[in-house]
This record gives sequence, structure tokens and C-alpha cells, in this order.
Amino acid sequence: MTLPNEDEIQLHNEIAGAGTGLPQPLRAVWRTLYWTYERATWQYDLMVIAILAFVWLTPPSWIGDPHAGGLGPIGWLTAWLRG
Amino acid sequence: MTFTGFIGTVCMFPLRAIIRACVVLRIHPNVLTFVGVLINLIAAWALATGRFVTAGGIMIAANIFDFIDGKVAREMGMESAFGGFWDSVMDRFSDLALFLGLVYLYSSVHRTDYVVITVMAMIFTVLTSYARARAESVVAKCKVGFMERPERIVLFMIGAFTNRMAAVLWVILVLSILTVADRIFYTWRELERAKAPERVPV
Repeated sequence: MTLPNEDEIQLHNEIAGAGTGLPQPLRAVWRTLYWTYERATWQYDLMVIAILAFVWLTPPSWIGDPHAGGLGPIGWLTAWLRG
Repeated sequence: MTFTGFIGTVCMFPLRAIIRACVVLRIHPNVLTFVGVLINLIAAWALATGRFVTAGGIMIAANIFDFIDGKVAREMGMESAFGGFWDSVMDRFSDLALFLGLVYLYSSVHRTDYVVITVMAMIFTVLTSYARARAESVVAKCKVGFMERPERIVLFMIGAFTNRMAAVLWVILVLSILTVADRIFYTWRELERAKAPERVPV
């Protein structure tokens, strides 16, 4: 595995908008929307987890899924909480 | 090692054996690409008829061909400019066929809303690859944005196997729009940077 050189790191930071002077929380949002990360990085893993959570946890009725059956984990939980 | 890196490494074990077999049998990589497309057409038909799990299984088979063609070409020393072009065109065709299957499915159950969402996802899928291809004719590389073909295909499979295709379509649509926007912004920024006069050290 080769480590990126300084020019590559600087380019990545510039492209990722690190130099735009945004405060930290906004910078994280910016970097999520303006995606410059490679596969098999922890940021990529986090994105995959977020996507899978949306796909598997969202109750199908919330998005009007014509084919999915069942409530989904969040649906079960809200149904259980309602009694 | 990251979670996705680990999954990639595990999946590579059986794929290496398949690649080896194709090299030994001297199967032309362009033929592998074409077989992958044909199998994807069957997957599209399964999606169109609402048989999601079958479609997921067929998609796995199709994408094995799609994944190994480039690697077989490399191992056989048969990499060519035409091979790359053929692969890209066939990839777009496979993508559109899968979306068409879903358009047929949702229109057959009179769900105009999901027909629109599927068509929009299809449009932005095409724009994702077009934006990169066009950008790379004016800047060196344009590989920003999350939603590329491997992500899309894995999402299709997850949607098919777990019967959550509608949620998957939303994810593909939103992230494809963002990817296209990322590529436009990146290309604009790179071109602006190239236009700027070189800094002279004082």
C-alpha cells in the first residue's frame, strides 16, 4: 500500500472543501454531500451503515412501498410502544 | 481493515477461482461482458414480474461476469481500448434494463409515483456516468460522488433479497442526484483552478 504524498493530501483537502473555512459540524455535512472518500475507508463504512439503516429500518408504509410486507423494525417498535 | 474492505476481501476468494478458470479456458473478456448483459436481461424480467429473490440471485450471476471481465482481460494480456468502451456501454445497457423491469412492475400495479421515482433514478444513473465521461474529456479525473455502479448494483441486490426495493430506489435517486451535482461542481472547480494564473513566489 502506498501512502499519498503531500500534494495528493492537499488536493484531497482542497477538493473536499477543508479550506472553505466552514465550522466543524457544517464541514462534516459538506463532506457527506460532496463525497470524495475512497471505498474501504471508515467514512465509506459509515455511509453504508446509514444507507442500510434507512433501507431496513424504515417502515415500508412510510414510503408507500407497493411490494414490501411487514412493518419493519421501526414499525414494530412504534406499534409495540402504542400497545 | 474496514468492514466493507473485509467483505470485499472475502468475496474475492471465489472470484479468483472463477477468473483463473476463465483464463485457463481462454474465454474472451468481451464475451464475458456480453454474457453478463444477457443474464442481466433475465434479472430485469424477474424484477418486472415481481420475483425479487429470483432477480437477486440472477443479478449475482450477471455481475460476477461483469466484475471479472476486466480482470480476465488483464490476466490474459487482452486489455484493449475497445474492451473498455464495450464494457462501459454494456454496463449502461444492463443498468437501464434493470430499471425498465421496475418501471414495468410499478406500472402494472398502477403505482405512477414509483414509476416516476424509478425513471428519475434511471435518468440520474445515466447522468452520473455521462458527467464523469464528459468531465474526463476536460479534466484529468472526475471520481467524486458516492453512487457509482458497484454501489447501485449491490443496493439492487439488497433491495431484491430483502424485499425493500422502494427504499433502495429512494437511496439510488437521492445519492445519484448528489453524485451528479458533485461531479459538476468538481469539474467547474478544476477548470476554474486551471484558468487561475500561476502563483509566483515572492
